[in-house]
Amino acid sequence: MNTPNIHTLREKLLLYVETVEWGRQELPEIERREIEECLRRDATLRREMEAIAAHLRFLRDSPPPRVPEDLATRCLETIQRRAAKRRRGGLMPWWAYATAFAVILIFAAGIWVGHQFPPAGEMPFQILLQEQHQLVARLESSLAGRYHETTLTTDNPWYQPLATLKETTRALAAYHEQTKDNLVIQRGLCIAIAQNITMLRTLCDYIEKNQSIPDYDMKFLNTASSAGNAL
Amino acid sequence: MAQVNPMPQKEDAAGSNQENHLIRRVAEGDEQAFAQFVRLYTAPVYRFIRRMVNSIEDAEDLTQETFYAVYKHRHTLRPDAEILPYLYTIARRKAVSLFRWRTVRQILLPLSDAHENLPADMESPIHTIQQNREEAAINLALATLPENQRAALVLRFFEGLTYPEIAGILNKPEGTVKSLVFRGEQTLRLKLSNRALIEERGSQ
Repeated sequence: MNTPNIHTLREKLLLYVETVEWGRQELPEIERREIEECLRRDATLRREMEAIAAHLRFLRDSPPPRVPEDLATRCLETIQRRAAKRRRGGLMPWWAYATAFAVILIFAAGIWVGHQFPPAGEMPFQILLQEQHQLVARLESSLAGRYHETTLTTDNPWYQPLATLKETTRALAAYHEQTKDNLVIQRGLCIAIAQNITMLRTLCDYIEKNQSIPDYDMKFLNTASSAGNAL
Repeated sequence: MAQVNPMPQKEDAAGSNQENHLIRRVAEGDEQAFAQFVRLYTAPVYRFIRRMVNSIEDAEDLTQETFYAVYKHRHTLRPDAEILPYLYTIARRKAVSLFRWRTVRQILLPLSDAHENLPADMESPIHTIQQNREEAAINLALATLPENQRAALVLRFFEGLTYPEIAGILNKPEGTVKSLVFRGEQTLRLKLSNRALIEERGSQ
């Protein structure tokens, strides 16, 4: 008679208990005799079998979950309601279909256009950065000319704001390099540079058009039409 | 081991022929037959799901979802098919979908919360308390098992299905199902032994 290994034996012990305790023929007669032979020899195995038997009796005799009395009724009500809704859903007016079709068409067109003209990868940030550099140079030149200087000196009221702007831009460019894989951050950086560009362009246009320099306080942007320091 | 106790049997609704006749009428679109069908099988389906999800609200919702799925596909029902394994298969799929939607924490309450999740009628007679404690303990211990072990164990020991039937529901070989039940039984026994419930019951 072959003796099964310990793992197989333990697994078969459960089937043996099911067979003996519950009267189900889960084990062939020969395997059952093998188990019984092992049980006769091994007290630990007998204890294990008793523990399994007690556990299965406990599970079998445990109270089943209480079924809510009105559950079947609620099931039927829900099914009827959903079935009715489903039936109504099949009778939409013609304009609903037309609207849905139009939305799908617009969406498909958007996808097609997107494929035809894909975004230029890293280009937007670099282009924006380049434009900002040009605008800063243009602004510095305008301001220096208005103050009768060749370059802005450190005691010029515009020197510090522009130095801060350049420093911030350098930090943004470095951050851009570090976060190339994060599209959300990349987009945020582009928005930040774009805002700088808008402000710089407004400032340059104002100075060149009015032949005057506004207060370096950035509140100028809100009162540009009335403010301005005449030279 | 002399005592031979009967194994839990699958619910025999109203005899095999009547059951086949009922399913045929459901498949033909008979609404009254479907209502009868739901009333007949709500209890076993709910009990199975309740053991699977350990939440009354989820169990009720999933029971409704299960029968709605049957309703939608009732024309494909075959009168000679085993209806309970079919219902358990759908119910399990619905439960698995729910597990995927929610975090484990929301559904499977840790064992430390056992007392908080006992039914509200703790002032009722002592045997009710004992029963509720056992039910809560079993459900909480079951909830710690992997889903496939839990399903195999519930179908085997609470619903009384055969190993081939469980293999069909879980879509796994019979040998794998036996291993799942074996491992599940060991873990569950350990959890319940820690709570000393088996010994407590045995001493009564």
